[in-house]
Parts: sequence; C-alpha cells; structure tokens
Amino acid sequence: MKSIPRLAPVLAAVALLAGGFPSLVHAAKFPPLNTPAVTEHRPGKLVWADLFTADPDGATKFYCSLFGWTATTLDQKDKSYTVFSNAGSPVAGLAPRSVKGASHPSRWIGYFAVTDIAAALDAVIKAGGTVHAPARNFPDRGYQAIVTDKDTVPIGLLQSGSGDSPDDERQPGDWNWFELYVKNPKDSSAFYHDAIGFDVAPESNSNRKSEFVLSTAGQARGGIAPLPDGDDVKPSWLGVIRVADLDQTLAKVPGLGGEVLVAPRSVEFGSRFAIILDSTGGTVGLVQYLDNANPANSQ
Amino acid sequence: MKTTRKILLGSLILIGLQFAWTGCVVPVGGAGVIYGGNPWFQDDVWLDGGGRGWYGGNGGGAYVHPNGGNRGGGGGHR
Repeated sequence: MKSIPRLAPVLAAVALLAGGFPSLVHAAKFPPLNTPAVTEHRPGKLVWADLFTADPDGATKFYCSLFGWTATTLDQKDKSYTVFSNAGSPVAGLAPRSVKGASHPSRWIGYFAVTDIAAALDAVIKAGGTVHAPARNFPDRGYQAIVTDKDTVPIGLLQSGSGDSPDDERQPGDWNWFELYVKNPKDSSAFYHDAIGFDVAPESNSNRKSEFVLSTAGQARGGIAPLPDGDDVKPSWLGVIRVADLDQTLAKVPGLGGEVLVAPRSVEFGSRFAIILDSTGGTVGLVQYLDNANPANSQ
Repeated sequence: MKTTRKILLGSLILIGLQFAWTGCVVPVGGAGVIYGGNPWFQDDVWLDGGGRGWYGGNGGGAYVHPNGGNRGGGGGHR
C-alpha cells in the first residue's frame, strides 16, 4: 500500500501521456475577421479561405513570395496554423494536414458566411451534402464547419463573431471571386440554392448557357461553370486572387516551384485571367483588371 | 502482486478520468487536422485537391467570371 502514494506522480504522468495532454492544450485564438467588429452579416459571402496542405513551409513561402502576403503563425503544439495577411488585413489561413506527400495535393476551401451554423448544417444535409468537420467555436473568429456538396466538393461555413465586412472593391492580393467547376452546373446550382440560400441566375454575360451566378441580397458571390470532359478532371471551387500585373506574377510562379495550368487569357469586363498550381499542388486563379480599372464599372 | 494490481487499477482509473474529462475525445498525434489547437476532423482523401490533374491540365475552355464585383457587389471578401 505504501508504494501507491509514492507512485502517484508516475501514474499521473502515465495517464497524461496516454491522453496526449488534452486538458493542457489551449485552443489557439484566431484573429477576428473584422477589427473593429461590424454588426452586419452577409450570408453567402465568401469571407475566409484556408489552404489545407501537407507542406506548410513550402506553401507559406510560395504565397508570401507571390502575393506579398505576410504570415503569422499561431502556436498549435507541433502543427502551427498560419494566418496570411494582405496589406495588414487577414485574408486566408493555412492548416497543416497529418498526411504527407504529393499524392495528397493541397486544397483551398472557401467559407461562406452564415448567420446560424446549426441551421446551415441542417440545410446542407437536407440538400444532399455531408458534414466532415462539425461546427466548432473558434474564438475570436466564430463558429465554423466544413461540409461537402452533393458532388463531394468541400466548402466551409462560417458564422463570424465579428460580422461580415462590407462589399468593398478588392485590392491586389485579395480574393476577387470564387468559381465552382462541376460536371453539371444546373444540378449544383440547385444544391447551392437549397443549402446556402443563393439566388441562382444564368450568366447573362457569357455565351455558355450552362453557367450560373450565385447571389445573395443582390450581390454576386460566385459562379458555377462546367468542367471539360475527361476522366482526370475533379470538381472543385477555385478561388481567384486579384493581382496588379498578371504577367509579372506568372513569371515568378515556376521559380517558386509552381506551374501555370491555364495560360493568361482575356475574359469578360476587360480583365485577364490565369490559373496556377502552387508548389504544393493547390490551385488558385489570378485576375488582373486592365488599366487598373474595376471591370465591374464597365458594366 | 496485490500492489501491482492496485497500481494497474489506479492507472486505469486515472486514464478513465482523463477520458471523462475530455468528453471521451482524446487527441492522438497525427490522426487528424489540428485546427485551433485541437483535432477538428479526420484527415482523408476528400480533402485532397486535384493537383496537376485538376481541370484536365490543359485549361481548355477555362472560364471564370472575373469579378462578381460591384456588378452586384462583392465576390471577394475582407
């Protein structure tokens, strides 16, 4: 019996080690989306994006070098979360994956603003989606969840604790647009209408009748476009970042270990657009407003 | 032997308390995506991006609306 009290510290240590110190781990606090906080909420707006990657160091170097983003690391034991800022404002995050290797290419996931995370998850499930990351409160950011749509494309939901920012014009280095590429845009548009509450309208500025624009409260939030035929294509959301000079940006990509997937081309509203692969397998679009004019103003 | 059994029992009780305290969710290193300091969800292939094969690699027919912009408002965020 005497040996029990003497062994108590050892037993406690064994128990803690077996549990991985869960009670000692404090959740890292994320910066709020808006400082100072705003009271307005804009459901359906893409308010955040995370890069999930097996190569955090490589991805951080790539995006900071290409866009001039700054990286702030939040301590999470041995797997830090990184906040990317553009001109001092948080624009994106980087979450390390537990798997390693090129067989697990990185993926950007955009988060739609919601006002009630529980109700939003119910709507996703009813519309045929699946919950992969359950709703969780991340102080001071808000409640987040990750789901997949009916085509198994991941999307995030975020009930911001600091409101949703005004729909100001994006600056170089900011997310400019989000486009969903799927085999059947019409079917997908029904899902996003039912699950997120988007108004869906055919894209009137394109000759492609199967393309749609997703809007809430009269504000265009994203688009849906068809994937080309082929067995190797994969439905996905594509985040598009505004750049000041597309050619200069693309010229840096190979030196950073990336690749130009879609060569620059002119698109609607007097803009130029390209798609790149980052050094870790993540895809992102780039757009340049010609003459630095907001193409929307030409409408 | 008696002492050994008590030690084992004590260990089991402490580990059991640990489970109870954490709601039976015990982080296991490398088993999931750590987010906000704790595992949030299991890492799996659904999280993989398309990589080089995404879009078929050639970009034929690439289209993106360049700015959901103030045509209707903000496609971007911030």
